[in-house]
Order: sequence, then C-alpha cells, then structure tokens
Amino acid sequence: MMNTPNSDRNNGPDCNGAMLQLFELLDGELTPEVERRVRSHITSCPDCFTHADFEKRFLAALHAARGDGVAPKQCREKVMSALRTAGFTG
Amino acid sequence: MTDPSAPAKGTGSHADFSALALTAIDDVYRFARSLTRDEADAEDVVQETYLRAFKSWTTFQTGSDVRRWLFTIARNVFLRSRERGKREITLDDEGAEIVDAVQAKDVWVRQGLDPILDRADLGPAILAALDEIPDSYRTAVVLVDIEDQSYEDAAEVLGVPVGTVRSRLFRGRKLLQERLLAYAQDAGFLTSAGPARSDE
Repeated sequence: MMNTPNSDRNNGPDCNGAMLQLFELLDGELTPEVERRVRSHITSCPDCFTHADFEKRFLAALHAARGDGVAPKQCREKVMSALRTAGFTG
Repeated sequence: MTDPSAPAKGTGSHADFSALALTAIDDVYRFARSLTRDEADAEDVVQETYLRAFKSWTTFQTGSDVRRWLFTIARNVFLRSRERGKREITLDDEGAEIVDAVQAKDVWVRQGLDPILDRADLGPAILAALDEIPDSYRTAVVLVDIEDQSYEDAAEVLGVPVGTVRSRLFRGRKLLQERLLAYAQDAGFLTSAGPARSDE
C-alpha cells in the first residue's frame, strides 16, 4: 500500500493526489506549476517513485508497439488505386 | 471579403497531399485497425478515409495537424460504415469508477514482472491486448499513447470532452496491464524463478 501521509510541506500533493495525476504528468498535460509539485512529491517518495517508474516504462512499451502496426502493402496499393481513380496524379 | 484572421486553406495540390497526408498512412491504418479490430475492415476504412480526404483536400487548413484531420475522417468513416454513431456518441463513462492503479502496479512489481515491459518482443502482445479492451478505451489509448495526440486533440477526434479522454485513458491503460499480465503468464515470459529473459 501507499504511504498516504507524505503530503509535501509546500502544499504539494500527498501520495494519492500524486498518483491520480501521474498519467497526466507522464503525458505532459499538467501546468508547469502542478507538474513541479507532483514531480517534487514523486522524487521524494520511494513508493510513488517506483510506481511512476513502472508506468513510465509501460507507456514506453506501449508507444514502441507502433512499429508493429504498419499499413500492409496491399492497403497502400488499394489507397493509391482508389486515389488515382478519383483523379490523384501525385 | 476575406477574413484575414481566418486560417489559411491548403493549396489543394496533389504534391502536398502526397507529402502531408499519404505519409501518415501507417498512423491512419493503426487507428483504423484499433477501430475495427479487423485488418480487412481497417483497409477499407483507410481507403475511404483517403478518398474523402483527397476530395476535401482544398479545405484542409494549412498549418493544422493533418493526422488529427485524418483520424477524425477515419472515425467518421468507421461510424458511418457500422451505423454505430449513435451508440458511440452516447457512450458515457464519465462516471466510471477509478481503478486502483496502485494495486495493479503492485501485482507487477511484487511478482517481479516489470522487466517484461523492457522486452523488445512485447509489441505484438501489446497490439493483441489492445484488441481485447473495450472500443472506447482502445481508441483513446491508441490516439494518445501510440499516435502521440494530446488529450485535447484526441477529444476532438473522438467527439468527447477532455475529461472523458482522461478517464478512458486511465481505465484503458489499467485494462491493458491486466491483459499483458495474463499474456506474460500464458506466453511463458514467466518462469518459476521469475521473468524469463528476452533473447534480444
């Protein structure tokens, strides 16, 4: 379980608050000030740091999967054929 | 009279279409694949998406995100082809309960499974796991995590509020982690001594 009392002395989030905003932090969706507070908590809390590291690696693995999802050759050919029929000359 | 503050329309040139739109075909295919969960259907969606995009290329606003534009067309093509627009749009998960993320992470870390995330051969398992989660979560995860769209852009493509994207992402990622855990166990990534090593 998380340690809940780790709320920071500068009005930063506690563990639950930091973890609720973790994905937004990793996605770059927080304002600079909120990001600073959440990062400050995570770097000072071993439990939250472990959790954040796990989620960061999970998202990296997920993003890397894009390399396994390219359009097949026949898909490209179908698109080009349809476009040429529609007047595409590029 | 032309409004000087209005975004510039595209040139409509075929060369621009080729350079801007056609180079995003892998991205459009991945998104279409996430919508349809079927390769042949995805190809049909991609083809129709590019046809519509080509026909309205002159309306594309120069400087705007061509991928977001194509994703929006692809989603509309998909919804129309399945006549599922009404159901998708009325799908409401705003009130969905928040999954206990900490508990989910603990399973991975406690069992020493997190090194699996670093395996180079995890991609196919992730794509298979994506197919197993509900449509609304999958499309949000694909747009943000694989296609690098912002929450706001994903919300625009999906026609939902940003908060809905946020909650769908949260739940979708947790569901994916659950599926990957099952996959790791089934695929023999785990040994009695812990995670098996990748051959990379």
